[in-house]
Amino acid sequence: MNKILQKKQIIEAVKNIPIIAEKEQWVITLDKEEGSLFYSPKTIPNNSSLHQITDEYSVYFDKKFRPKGVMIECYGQNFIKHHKSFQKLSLEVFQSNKKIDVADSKKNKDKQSIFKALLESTLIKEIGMGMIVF
Amino acid sequence: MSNYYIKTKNIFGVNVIFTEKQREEKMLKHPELRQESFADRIKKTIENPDFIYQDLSDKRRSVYYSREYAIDSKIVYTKIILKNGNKECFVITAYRPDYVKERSKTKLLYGKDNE
Repeated sequence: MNKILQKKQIIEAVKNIPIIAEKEQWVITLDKEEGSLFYSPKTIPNNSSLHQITDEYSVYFDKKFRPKGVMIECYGQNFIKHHKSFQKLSLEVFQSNKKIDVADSKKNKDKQSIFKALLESTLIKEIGMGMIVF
Repeated sequence: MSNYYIKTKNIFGVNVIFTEKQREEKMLKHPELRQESFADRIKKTIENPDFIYQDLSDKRRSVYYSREYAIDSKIVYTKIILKNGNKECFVITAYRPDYVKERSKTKLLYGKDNE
């Protein structure tokens, strides 16, 4: 991306995440080893680049500035501590012992839908509160 | 085929290993790890980083950064998270953000981060 990313474009891109996520069947993945939560396709496409949106999260965008995945670093150590509503829900959604835990859509389907909706609304809400200006 | 994606020494002369298995696990969510040219950047960052921070969540880990290029005044970095062992260090993951998550939040262990 070799142009200035305008604030309005970023806000629009983040607002479109729920539609894109549903269309592209994004999954929630907790990488316990890395400490990051991802909300993205199972494989984030090639040629996507990572940009910070707020102090809490960053987004992989493609060359046309379409969101291709959300990354929340320090999810357990930081994010969850001041987003209390995710605490119990995370325990319910991520139940395996795997170091990379992909929420299984066949299990806890309702909880996952709530988690995704809460995450999407949090991403949009936070962009209005503390966006990093490009 | 070698089990090592990268094997080199860090700036302090300690062996650093990034296994092929680890890379394959991490590249699903970090597309940079599918780029052939990124391997060279990872190796150079391990060997000669611009700065190193202590990891935010685990003191046994360190985070290596190299400045790559700037887009409209935003600097893009190669970032590598390393787990420090007694005799060797292991790469947890690597990617290319346009920010330094650790800045002003944890201890700077080496170099200057004066952005």
